[in-house]
Amino acid sequence: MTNVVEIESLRKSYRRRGGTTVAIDGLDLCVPEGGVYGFLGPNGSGKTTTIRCALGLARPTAGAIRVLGRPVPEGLREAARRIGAIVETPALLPTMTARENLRLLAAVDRIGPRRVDEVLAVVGLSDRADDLVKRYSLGMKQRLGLAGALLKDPELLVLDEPANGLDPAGMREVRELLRRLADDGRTVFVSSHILAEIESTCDRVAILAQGRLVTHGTVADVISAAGHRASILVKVDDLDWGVRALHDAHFTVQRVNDELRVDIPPERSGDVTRALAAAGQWVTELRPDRFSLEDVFLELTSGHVEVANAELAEVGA
Amino acid sequence: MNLLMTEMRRAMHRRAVRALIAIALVGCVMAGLISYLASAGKTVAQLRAGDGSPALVEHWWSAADHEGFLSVGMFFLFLGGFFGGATVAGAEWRAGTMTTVLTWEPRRLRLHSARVGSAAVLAFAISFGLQIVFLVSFLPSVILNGSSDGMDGWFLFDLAVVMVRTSAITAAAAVLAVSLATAARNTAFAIITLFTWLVVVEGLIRSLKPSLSGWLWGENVATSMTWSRLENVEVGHGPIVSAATLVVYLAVIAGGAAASFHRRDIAAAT
Repeated sequence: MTNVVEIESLRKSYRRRGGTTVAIDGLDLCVPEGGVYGFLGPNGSGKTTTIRCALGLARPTAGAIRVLGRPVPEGLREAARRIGAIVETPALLPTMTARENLRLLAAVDRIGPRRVDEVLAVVGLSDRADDLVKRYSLGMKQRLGLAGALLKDPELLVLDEPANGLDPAGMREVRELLRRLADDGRTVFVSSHILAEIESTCDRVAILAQGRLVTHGTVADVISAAGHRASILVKVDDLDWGVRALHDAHFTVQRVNDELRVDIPPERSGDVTRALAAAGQWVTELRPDRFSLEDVFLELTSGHVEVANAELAEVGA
Repeated sequence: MNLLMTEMRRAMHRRAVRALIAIALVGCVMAGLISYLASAGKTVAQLRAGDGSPALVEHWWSAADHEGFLSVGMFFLFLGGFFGGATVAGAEWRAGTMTTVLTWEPRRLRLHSARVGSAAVLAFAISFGLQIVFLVSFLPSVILNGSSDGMDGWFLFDLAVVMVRTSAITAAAAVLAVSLATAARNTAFAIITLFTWLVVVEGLIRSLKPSLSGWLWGENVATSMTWSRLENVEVGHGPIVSAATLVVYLAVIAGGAAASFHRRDIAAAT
């Protein structure tokens, strides 16, 4: 499988008063062609800086980046024609309509007005295409930014937090759109801290903390590598009765929504069914309590979140 | 050429640029009105005997004296070119549109050249257009109250030369502003720097070291605009040396800004 993005030993540091701030510290990352690749990390973990380096907006302190087989920044000129990108909030001219803004961008690469209309339809903005951008909501601006990124019909879409400011319906639309774009054969590289968005959309993920890669792989692999909790989830008809029965049988049990979480390794789930059956309760569903991507994310980044939220690790201060 | 045209369209959509043009147009209309009212009821002889009136075409510009009513707008055009250029370049950084554009055109020097070029072309065209509007605003007073005597081919040629020269200096002001605002990534920095330099630094140099006056921006801009040697400057040059001096200054500042834009990271919008 070809890699569309290859990052090797990337380091990016900034000189600040009193020391050096390391934003990315020896990052190695390969994004394979096709599918949606989620790039996760707490605030300040270096996601946007990595994207900025990959797009030539920031110069790495050390390391090498290749995008679509071209070295960055030297080969970015050729690669840029095949990349659509949104970095942070898409910034467009507020005194122009959405259509005018897109036509202006399109003119840079000699893209015709028909393509502008096509991408406006793809992001669902055809009806509002002639409204001034200053009248757009944040969600509409995000969709317009996405339309701009799609103008070049890119092989690689690099989207930095594309769901920012979107309502749940908008998020779902973007999720479905990203999936559709990936199913069409594009590679979608998306950074986000909205885990539900990533888990349900991405084929592969990488988790970043304090400028370092902490794990990567398919979503299923990343979750299964984290293992199971030493608990199981059980459904019974009468939850109150079930809680009482399991307490009486000396299990530690907790009611979670419409299920019971019993602290016992999954391989001993027979003990639970036996205790419930003895109390006249029939199990309707039983499964190991697996980690979600969010659990894995929090587990892997928990040691880093505090530091990351206070921005970045200070070196040499 | 695509990028240049795109940058020009982007610049023309900036509210500050439109506001500056609107203010200039209002100024032209006011000048025309004042000219009409001031010349109403006077004979041509009375107008000639006075301090000068734009109702007389011959007073628009005198090639022999290097002065005329056309010079009234020169200073404002220089300032307008500077404000416009600084605003266009600074706003790109403030709004974050620089990032968006660079994801389309990652060749920074090419983008910067297009931006500087578009500022120069637009400033030149707007300045030239405004000077025409300025002069046209005097036509009612010329037709109704004054005289078009002296408006021959040579006069129009001289007028055109002055207008081109003023437009070129307006374009230079815009390039200077774009360069300063690009280097600092900020509109205010460019404006404050220009005024601090012109008013404070050059003022100090003029009073403490008059022998350097001939190398100051102010003197060289004035010499280039009027295309005549300044009388009150200790070491004044001819207009060609002045224009060349401005070109050198501009090249150094624009080169520095281009190098800064090429090397520095593009940060998030401020």
